[in-house]
Amino acid sequence: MHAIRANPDGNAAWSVRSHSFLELQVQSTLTGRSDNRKQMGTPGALAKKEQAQSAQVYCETARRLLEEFGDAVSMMIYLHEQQFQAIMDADSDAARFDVLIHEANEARQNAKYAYLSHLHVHGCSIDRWKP
Amino acid sequence: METLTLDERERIIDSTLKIQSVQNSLRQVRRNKIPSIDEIAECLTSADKHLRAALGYILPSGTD
Repeated sequence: MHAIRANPDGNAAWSVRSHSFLELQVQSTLTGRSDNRKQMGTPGALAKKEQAQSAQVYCETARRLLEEFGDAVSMMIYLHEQQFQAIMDADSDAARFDVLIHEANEARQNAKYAYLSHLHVHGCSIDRWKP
Repeated sequence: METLTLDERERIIDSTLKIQSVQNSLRQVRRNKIPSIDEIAECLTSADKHLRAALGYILPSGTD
């Protein structure tokens, strides 16, 4: 996963950063995994059932759009972390992150709209979004 | 009123939140430092009210 980093001069450069926790969260959402899965069936049968449900719930496009949405959220968190670190380091130019955060938020919203628009048009996994 | 699609509803919710954010920010600025601040505030209040109405949260009162 790529993450944006703000340089002191205000320019944005790309660097690689992993967000394993967030990826796990998104993956968990994508597979529809729940905590009450111990309640029914053997592990093998349960895995097959989950796989079948997941395939029915999310089409490939929805899965991709949800991942992009998750990436955009991840980017927001990363930028907030970087700004927090800059503030803690008494960086006098910590406000440079504001524009980046604003842009990341716009990207997050656009990713969300693209995902929701697909759910509406395609009808897949429509019950996964509770407004 | 036409039914909103999922993304239309989300766009309106996000817009409403942004307008509320602008209202809160401007509230902390001295009124005489922004030209036509009353008109701006009125416009924001009206936009907020109508967007909420579109979401079905409140009925637009006093609308023409």
